[in-house]
Amino acid sequence: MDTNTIYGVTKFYFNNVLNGVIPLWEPFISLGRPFYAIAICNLFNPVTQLVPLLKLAGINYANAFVVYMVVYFFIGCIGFYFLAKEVLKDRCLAYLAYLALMFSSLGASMFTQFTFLEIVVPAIWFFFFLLRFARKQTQGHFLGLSFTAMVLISSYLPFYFVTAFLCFLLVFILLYMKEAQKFCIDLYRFIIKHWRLSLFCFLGILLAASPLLAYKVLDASGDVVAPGRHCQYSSAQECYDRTMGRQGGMSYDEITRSGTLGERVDMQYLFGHLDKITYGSDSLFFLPLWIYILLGLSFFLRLKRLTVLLSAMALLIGLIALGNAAGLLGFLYRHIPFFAYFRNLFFLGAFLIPVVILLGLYQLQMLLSVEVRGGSAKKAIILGVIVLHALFFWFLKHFQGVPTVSYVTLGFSAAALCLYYSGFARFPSKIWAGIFAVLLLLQPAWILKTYALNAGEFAAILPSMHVTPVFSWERPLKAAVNKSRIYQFVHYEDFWYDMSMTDAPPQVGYPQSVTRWTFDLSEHTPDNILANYARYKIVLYDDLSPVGKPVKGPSPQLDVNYFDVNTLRLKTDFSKPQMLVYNDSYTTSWKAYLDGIPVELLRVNQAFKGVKVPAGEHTIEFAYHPPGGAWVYVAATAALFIFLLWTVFMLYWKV
Amino acid sequence: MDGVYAILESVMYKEILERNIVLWAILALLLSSSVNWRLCTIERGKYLLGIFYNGYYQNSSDGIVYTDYLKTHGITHEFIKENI
Repeated sequence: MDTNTIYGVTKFYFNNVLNGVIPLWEPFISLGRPFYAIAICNLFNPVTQLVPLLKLAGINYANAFVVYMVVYFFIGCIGFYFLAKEVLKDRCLAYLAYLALMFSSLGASMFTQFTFLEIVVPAIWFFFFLLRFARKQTQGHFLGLSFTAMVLISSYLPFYFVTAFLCFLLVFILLYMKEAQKFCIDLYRFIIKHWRLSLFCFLGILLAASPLLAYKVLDASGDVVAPGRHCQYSSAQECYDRTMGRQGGMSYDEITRSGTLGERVDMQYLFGHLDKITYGSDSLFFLPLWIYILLGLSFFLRLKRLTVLLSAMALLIGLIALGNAAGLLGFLYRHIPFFAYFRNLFFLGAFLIPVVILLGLYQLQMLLSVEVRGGSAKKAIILGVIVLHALFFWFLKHFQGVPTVSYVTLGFSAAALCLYYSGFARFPSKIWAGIFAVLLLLQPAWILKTYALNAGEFAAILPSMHVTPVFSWERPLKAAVNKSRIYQFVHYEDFWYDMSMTDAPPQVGYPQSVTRWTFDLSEHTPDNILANYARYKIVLYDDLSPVGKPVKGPSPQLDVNYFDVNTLRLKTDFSKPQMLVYNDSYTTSWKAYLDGIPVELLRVNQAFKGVKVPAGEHTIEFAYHPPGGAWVYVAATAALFIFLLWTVFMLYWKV
Repeated sequence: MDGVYAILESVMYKEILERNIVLWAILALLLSSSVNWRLCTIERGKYLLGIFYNGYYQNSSDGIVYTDYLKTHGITHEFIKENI
């Protein structure tokens, strides 16, 4: 269901960008908090810039987002075509790989878990450029490698890709020792020869990493805590202690108790019950059945290094993703601190899809290259094909709810391969590729059809129109979100308020991220008292009374001059000095200005912002200036765009 | 004569050891021995029952996927009480 969240973040970001503001603060939820999701939703990718462009062309945000998702997915499919062509050195097989990826769960899951695409699409292109660079050390390939690394680091937390890459590296070095040595030497020579380019690429990667670094700096400042990360399995006191103690990383229990591959993917659902896949689950994982059939048919093929590489990669990634259910993650967690910083291990499952497809199609390539000499060999092979298909049929019978289309695919597969080996039908390779494509698509096309039929119950109205935020003096006491099932899940409703840029009720709960003082206050204040107090955004105190006077609307003494998500400017004309309290969370990055001159910003009422305002006409400004400011995001977007153009130029015009 | 059979035998072994079936057997062995499938079932049960999101078993009557899962994996009410 993270697609809903990512849409909310994307809509919030670009809506504000089109208003001329790079959003750094979310004033509408959790009584105000930093816009922490800015660094993990692929917002700076050149492809994502389609969203504001389409909006400017008159398309609403929701439709623009769907277009962007589909375009991004097909960019991944095209990358996979090129990667498969590099690996298999066969255009027809590469096209089959493209189709297999297109009809795998990777595509379908874009509507529930777009994070899969955020991490897998650039990874596919990264491996493509890595392979090309290993074969030919050109500046274009090096730039492609750098650009994809930049996208990987700026689109989501890079831990998942790094884990998958380390799995690849480990197996590759063990299997291809000489090639690995040669690659290192070639890379070293290239860097020495093109040191300026290498330096630029390094700078580009640093710029792309800057949004994540900015968040890390903010996190290290202690202003922000993440109760959502620590409270799932803790008692209230333990949750509070761990959150306020700002413990880095997560416990092994937290990492492995939710979000593992074992939790999200089930063997039964690889083959059965595929008609029950719905948008309500982010555990979609299926591959075209024919890929599994090919793996089954490859039992007696000669063992090749590439088969070992791909299967060992899949095994390692799978074992890590299984978390506590396999011992590997426990071992890595104890010995390598890196593994304490990410959970949602089922994200790693997204890497299994292209790896297993490549493995399956490599087996197809070898199956097709088996030389049949003589009638008896031909009969033996045909018999083998029939027996292996029969065995697969027997295997499928062990699963409940296997759709008829799977058996039909199995039957067609046996018939097609018998025809191929019999030599009766001497079709050109393109015709055979067409037949194999049908075998690949038959079952997943049926799954996708049923998936579409199951969509209805998750229909939701997502705010999609452009909004110019208006300062409201009062927060609502009742939730505004509708009853759609996608809002039933914890914290997703938060993004409804961001999408529509309206205030949420004054509650905190256990959000992913919130300011430490607001969290502290919410933990020690009954919900109704906090809600009653924080209902009004502005409260005035004078020296005579310790009781604040909530401001319920504009008046000649106090009015809003300007408001955006990072700034609030007020016009005051008090008859006597006042303490003006803005009931929006305090952090050390907020600054206050009186008539344009910086003044002391006080943390008042434990968690909020306050300024002493003298009598007479004045302008008070509250402005949020986090580490790096908006320039970090502008620089990251610009760097990615420049590197994309540079890569394309070097690849096609000046290789 | 024995020597000939020994050579044939070694060729046969080599032929078998050079095939994918050996790799698949090793992978199957690794997966079956190193993965606690029962724990996976328990974790998946928790996830599907919605305990993560709702804090109680609200989703047990929420869809055919969950009830099917309960049926096919023997997740009875006793199992839930004991494990989830």
